Amino acid sequence: MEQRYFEDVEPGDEFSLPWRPDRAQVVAFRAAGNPETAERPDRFTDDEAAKQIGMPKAIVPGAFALCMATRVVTDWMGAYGTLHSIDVDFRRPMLHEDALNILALVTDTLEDGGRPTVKLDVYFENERGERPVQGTALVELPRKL
Amino acid sequence: MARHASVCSHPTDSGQDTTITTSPSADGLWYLDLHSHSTDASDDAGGTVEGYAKWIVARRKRGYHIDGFVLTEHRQYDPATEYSALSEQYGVTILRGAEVETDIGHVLVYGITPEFVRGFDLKSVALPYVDVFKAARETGGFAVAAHAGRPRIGLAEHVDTRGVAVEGIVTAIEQLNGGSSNEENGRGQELADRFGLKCVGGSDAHFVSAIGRCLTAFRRPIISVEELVQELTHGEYHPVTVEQTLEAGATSGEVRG
Repeated sequence: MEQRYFEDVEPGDEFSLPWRPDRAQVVAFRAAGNPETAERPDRFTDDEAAKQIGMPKAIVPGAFALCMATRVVTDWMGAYGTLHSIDVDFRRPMLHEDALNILALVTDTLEDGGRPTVKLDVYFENERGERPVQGTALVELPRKL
Repeated sequence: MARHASVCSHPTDSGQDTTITTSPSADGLWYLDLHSHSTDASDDAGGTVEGYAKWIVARRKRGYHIDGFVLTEHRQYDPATEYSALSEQYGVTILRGAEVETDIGHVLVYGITPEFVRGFDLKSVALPYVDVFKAARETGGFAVAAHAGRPRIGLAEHVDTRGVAVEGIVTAIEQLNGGSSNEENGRGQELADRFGLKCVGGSDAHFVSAIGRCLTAFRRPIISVEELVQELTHGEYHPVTVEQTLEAGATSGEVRG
């Protein structure tokens, strides 16, 4: 993992991770919490169950999306960065097999009480031109010595 | 084409003078984002007004042309709020309107007067749309059907499924909305074509990096809400994506799908 330094970051910097979630990934994610119910057929694993609540097919759990967004940010900041907060809104469902891109954009750099801090927007885009999940993150980065 | 800074001084909607230092776009158009929300008044927003202004400055450095934005907070309008200091500090036009909720979906209102506010409970989620459009017009403002192609909260679905009236009531729609899918924006275009409606663009930004993603291109500079209403009512304008404001392609008025 590459280390990111405060001096190297400026507003407008962008990084991303493509992601095509599928049933196997969703089941693996749920199994980390409770292996016994990971494959239970519901809106997250079963297309028919999802259709019963008005979705076109099975959807990605919000917690999974948040974890993926967090991963994008923490991979970018490096081992000596500190993620102070991440907060997302779920505006549209993300479906299994969606061609997603998880993006993070540096929107500001500031000295927050003497701490070198970076504000980021984090969001998902899909092939339909939608941003189904969007939010913000606050990261503290080390300075170069 | 080289850019030349120009300075405009006008009264803002709060009555205070403000000075905006800006640069004309290569194509001479004035690009405003007509739909945005901030942490100041919209509980689902994560972007601050200053964050938006900073982001626009950063976008300009990368060749995009964004002259300013209009805050259209959800279901409210506080006449005491004004952003002239931020506007001057960053050289970004910052105006205010509101996004209200009606029986045909959401409606953006610009040029809100005390008379307009007295006529409605802005917190209502089912205002009568005919009255909203009429009152906006009669009190010196201008109303636009927001994200017109969006299910439930956009005008097109109400026209298609309930046959609500458009002619003589609605004159403009937000055809290009940054929160809508390509298909939904296409549906807005179909509605505009069918009824001969004027079209605007707005990002519907709730977070910093979305501001200016979709814009409206005007033929004249706008730094006051009075000028905005004047141009929306009588001027020429069209929606554009931010990519279309890059200097190389700023003459294009086509909306990408």
